[in-house]
Amino acid sequence: MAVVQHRVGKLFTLFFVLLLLAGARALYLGGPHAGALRRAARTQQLTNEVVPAQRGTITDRNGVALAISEPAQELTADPYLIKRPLAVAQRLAPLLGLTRAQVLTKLSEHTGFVYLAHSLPYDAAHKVLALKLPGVQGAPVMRRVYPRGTLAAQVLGIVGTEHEGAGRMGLEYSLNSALAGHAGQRRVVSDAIGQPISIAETHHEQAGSSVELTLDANIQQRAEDVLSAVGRVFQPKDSTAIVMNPRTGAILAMANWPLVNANDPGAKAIEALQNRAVSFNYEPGSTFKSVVVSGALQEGRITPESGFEIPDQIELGGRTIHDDTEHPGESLTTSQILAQSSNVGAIKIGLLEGRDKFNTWVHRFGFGAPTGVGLPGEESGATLPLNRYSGSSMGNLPIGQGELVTPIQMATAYSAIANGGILRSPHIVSQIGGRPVPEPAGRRIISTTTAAELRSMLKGVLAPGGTASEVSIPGYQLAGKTGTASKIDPKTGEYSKSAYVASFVGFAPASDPKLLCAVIIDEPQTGSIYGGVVAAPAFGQIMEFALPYLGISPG
Amino acid sequence: MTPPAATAASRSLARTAPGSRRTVVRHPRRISGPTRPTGSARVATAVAVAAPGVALPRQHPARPASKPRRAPARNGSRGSAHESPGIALRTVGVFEAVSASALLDRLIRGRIWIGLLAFSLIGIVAMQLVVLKLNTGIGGTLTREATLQRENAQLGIEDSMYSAEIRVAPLAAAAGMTLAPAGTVHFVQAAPADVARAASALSAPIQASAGSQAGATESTATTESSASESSASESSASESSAANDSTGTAAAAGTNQASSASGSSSTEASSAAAGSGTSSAESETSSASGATAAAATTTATGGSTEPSSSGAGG
Repeated sequence: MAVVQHRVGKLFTLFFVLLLLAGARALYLGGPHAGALRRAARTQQLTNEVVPAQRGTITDRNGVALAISEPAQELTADPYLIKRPLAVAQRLAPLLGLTRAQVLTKLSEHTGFVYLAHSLPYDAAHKVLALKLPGVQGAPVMRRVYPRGTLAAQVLGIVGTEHEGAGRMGLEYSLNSALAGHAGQRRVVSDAIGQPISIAETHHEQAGSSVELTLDANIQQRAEDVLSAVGRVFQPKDSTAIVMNPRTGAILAMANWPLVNANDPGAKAIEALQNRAVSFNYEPGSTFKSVVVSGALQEGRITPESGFEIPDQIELGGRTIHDDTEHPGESLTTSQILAQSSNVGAIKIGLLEGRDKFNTWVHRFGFGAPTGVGLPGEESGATLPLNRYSGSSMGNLPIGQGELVTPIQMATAYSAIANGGILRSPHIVSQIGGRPVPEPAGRRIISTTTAAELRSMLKGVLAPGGTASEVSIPGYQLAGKTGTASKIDPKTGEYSKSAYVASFVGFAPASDPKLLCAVIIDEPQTGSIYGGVVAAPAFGQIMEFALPYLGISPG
Repeated sequence: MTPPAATAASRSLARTAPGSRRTVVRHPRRISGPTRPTGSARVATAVAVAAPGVALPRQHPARPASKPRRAPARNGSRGSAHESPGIALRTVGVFEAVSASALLDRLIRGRIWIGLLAFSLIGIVAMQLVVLKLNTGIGGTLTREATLQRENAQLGIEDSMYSAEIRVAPLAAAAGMTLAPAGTVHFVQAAPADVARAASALSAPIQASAGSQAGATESTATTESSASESSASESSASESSAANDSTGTAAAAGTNQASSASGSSSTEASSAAAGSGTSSAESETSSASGATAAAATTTATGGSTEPSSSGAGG
């Protein structure tokens, strides 16, 4: 019995000693070695995954998706962990859409981190990750897709690959705070085979707000098609067209040419990505004559029937300005001056108005300041300060020379004429996150009578004898103004004889306008350079589609 | 009053002494190992060791001597000074009562606690497994969420692409649809009486095909007249225009190419309307407006062909 007890005592002692050793080891691991073990565990078992926020969708006024985000993967590799780069490159190349040499170059770099692909579509990334190649990892990201490709690409802008895909240009940039949302973070503890055994959301991701634009994809498409056709015929440097509702200032189309595929913006020069509708400063030429006439009408200096003796040319401040075509001295009414776009006539009206009043009216129509359309990169144009007017200033300013405007400024100014005299900031965003964006309030700049008189006069531009008489839409009465402005030659500093801006701004139905369109063609190279020949037909084609499409009756 | 320590000790000793008045007869305790002799119970332990197997009455541990009470504060609140020791004493009393409770004693002595412990351990393990499974499920759900998100985005992209004009226009053209020229589209000026007429037309959907044929004929006539008007205006415009040079003609040609229908579209529009499924829609429109419609045209927009109107007078 004593022997048994002795052995039990020995066993007990042995177990006690083992327990002490285990305790000591536990103390060691939990104490001095704890930091290293914690770090190792974090690396092997614990991962803090970034949960990318779904970027808000951009749709047109009918809910057609123009920009949408889809889950993708950012693939990276640690070249040090890749044993056979050539074999790996051979397997990865077709899945990444790269050549074997390109992948091999990346995998051969002497670094521990290389990007294999940014925003790789999920399916392709899944195939890559399914290969379970050591050293190849994927991180979830969101990929921006523009389903319509070139449609309104310059308006929508682009999204960068860095900084969680922040907007870089266009609406993607200006509305980034609303569209982006907030990325979340997830703490995942995995077991030995990588199976997650604990998932905790440390930060909830917040999806970005969807944005509804006032654009109409079909009108936008038509405007781009028309500009492309103009590009083929006249080969201009670039062109832009704006279609808007003059009553509300809602922009229905904002087209730019050359077209850019928003899914592949790098394929074109950076200049092609510019939204020229808001960033192109140009001398408006004859389209500015409406501003001079509006002011003079409103001031009561003239009426539509006021007669003027129009010589072939006029001298002012030592400078001679002549009409576009040679003609003997003639008598024209204000309406005829606008319809025939007489330079001499516009200058005479400007002189009648006086430089102070003229300058006031230029600013009252919104020139010299951004319209507030809410698109990034909007230029404000340039107007001559009153104190810098020279003796010849009133010889060129009333005919649209010596000041710079943007296409959106011109469209906005003509909207005021079309809607009865209220200047209203144009807008392109209809809703953000389902909440309507309030329409900007307008301010009256001319009376309804003046606006109606001007609309009536502008009908003459498209009537027989007008500068855009070739343009007509059966059933509709159109009104508008052509513009042909020579550009300053940067080499000589003088007006060029080969570089022009052809433009047309018009609306319909003339008596009760519901749709306005501005077309600006920069430097047409072949064929004509006149606004009535180059830009006005484009206006007609766009309006011919848009008017019945929108259900606008001829009135 | 604080009792002297010696008094408390002697009371404790008297309570633990065998044969004392408060000793109760209990069931023999199963001893599974060496017990730690404490205080005056050492003698009894020694007896137990000397004679193993002999059941001994349970020895209560000596009650610890109560600490000397602190004298109540002179200026302190009387309530708190009295309650604090009261709660402590009551807590100790409860603890002692639980320790000495027969139920606990029976539980520890019996085999139920083994089952209870096993059940608890198994429960803990099972709960851990459930948690693990839940987490794995969360992982699966997140994966599914990502998949659905991706599919949703993909569907949105497809939806946008399917409605693109570049896809719809050729399909519509293949189906014989053409874009109605702007001049051929007419709009109805709705009058209050039209509501009643429309309602009555709804009750009798398609009256007769004769009405639609009449409407189609009238439609063609109107279209042709408007087209001839437009061609007349075009000719006058070309005559009066000074800038009608070759490039201007080229521009006009480009214009005609870009727009899908122009002067020649009067017969196309009417034939397409007659040949396609829009004719029935037109007949509905005609009958709804009392067969007085002057024209009914089609507007192909984004691939949809819709009867837009009837005559202005209607």
